[in-house]
Amino acid sequence: MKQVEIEQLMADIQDTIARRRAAGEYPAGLEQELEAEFASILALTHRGEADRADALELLLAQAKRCAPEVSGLTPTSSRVPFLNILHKIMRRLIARQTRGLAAQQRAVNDQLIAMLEHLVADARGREDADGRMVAKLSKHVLDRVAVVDHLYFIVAELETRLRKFEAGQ
Amino acid sequence: MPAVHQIIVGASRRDAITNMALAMRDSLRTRYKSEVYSFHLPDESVIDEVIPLEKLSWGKTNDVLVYHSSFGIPRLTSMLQARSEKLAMVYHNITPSSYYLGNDPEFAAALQWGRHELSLLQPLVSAAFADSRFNAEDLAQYGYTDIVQLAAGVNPFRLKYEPTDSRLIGELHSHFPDGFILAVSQVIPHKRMELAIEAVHLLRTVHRLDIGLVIAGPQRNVRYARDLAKLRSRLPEANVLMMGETTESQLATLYRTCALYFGTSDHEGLAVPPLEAMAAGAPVVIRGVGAVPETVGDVALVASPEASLCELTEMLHAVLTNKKLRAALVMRGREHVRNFYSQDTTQVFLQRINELTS
Repeated sequence: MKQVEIEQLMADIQDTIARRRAAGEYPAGLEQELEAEFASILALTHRGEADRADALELLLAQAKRCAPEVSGLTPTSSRVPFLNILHKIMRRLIARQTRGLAAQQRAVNDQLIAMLEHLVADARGREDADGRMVAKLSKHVLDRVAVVDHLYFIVAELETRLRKFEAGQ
Repeated sequence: MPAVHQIIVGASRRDAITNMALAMRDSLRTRYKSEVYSFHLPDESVIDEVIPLEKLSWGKTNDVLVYHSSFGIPRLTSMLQARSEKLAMVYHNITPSSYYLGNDPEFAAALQWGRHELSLLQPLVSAAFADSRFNAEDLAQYGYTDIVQLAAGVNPFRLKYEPTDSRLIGELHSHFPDGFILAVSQVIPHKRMELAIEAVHLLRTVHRLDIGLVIAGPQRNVRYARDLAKLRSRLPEANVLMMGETTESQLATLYRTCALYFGTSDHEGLAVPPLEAMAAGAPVVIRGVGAVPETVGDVALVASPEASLCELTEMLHAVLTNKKLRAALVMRGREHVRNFYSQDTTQVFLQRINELTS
């Protein structure tokens, strides 16, 4: 491709953009809105802060990892000679009770995990909704600014016409 | 016979610097003992070709070490300072650390050290090479003189004989029946992949083109990858497939089947993927940053670095819909890479190395 052809193509592209902007296909503030959208995502990353949903998700993962480990049985080893035998006897004697308690605890854990899962989904939904709301509001603000810009040009044109009219009078 | 060994930071068959070093090694072996050593353990793809740096023995004073600079590792700097061999440097550019200060401070520190290392090694370097004019100008700022500008070992046709992955073609067709735009790069912040996602979102929503986006390259920055995933969830229309690290055959298939190659990076020392795309017959639209304009010439649609998202979208739209423009870019692109590859840069490199060893 010759340089002239490329320059012509780029000029055509600029014309197309101007036409599409005027037709509202590229609405006012579109690029700024997309830029702000990604900047808001990056901002969270740059500050090194985890989202609320991310923090809850981490807790959920830890809870899921630890929950099955509740067995109701404790270690029987001991540094004192022969005391491990006593521990073993005691563990056998109360195993029925501790295992029962452990089963109850596991049931509670399952309920807590289910609750955390709901909270994570809720926080994730809210964050997305907040993000969308901010983007929507920014778009409205930029739309209004574009309208003000447009009005400014109309007023300026009217003033020019008025001045010409007065000069003609 | 004197030895001319090369040192790279990391090694993988998918890494442009590794491929350049291996191609240069083959040329060096015609006259010298020559190996490629890597500071980090080499990836499995090159385990038989690249040697861990700890195995590099002490050389003689007329031997040469060719160091490929692209990053900074203090331990490697002190090791280079302590060597008795002559030192040559091939500069591939170091990304400005500002992109990483926020989300990966350790990586940013390594990049800053890389630039500091350029100053530390300058008095020790006997021959300096840069693989683009942009890189040569950058290196000159650190006091280097007589920099030889050459892209030795870059082969845009390296994937020519890779088999096409027919299974991947099937998957791509089911994802994107009407075609896809391809971006090939490590997924890291300064590559600006968000621009590609946003542009495809506009192509689909404003232009009503049923086009998808494939991003091929390893996700080296977890936070940035997560940010892109969030952006994708907020712009579901964008229709993006993140391929991650690909095999050579998959990469060749992507180049051969894409509708066009799109480069969005903010900083490029030498852009190899657009050359590979041209060699495979794909038209290229790319932001003209760093060494990009001199590398792709006038055979790609090069956007100014300040081009707006709408401009980039319109350029993509023009190439996707204007058959005459596409054909011109494809034909001229092939010719350009053929000329690029036919320049015998390795001979210039060897000649300079000969001067050092004689």
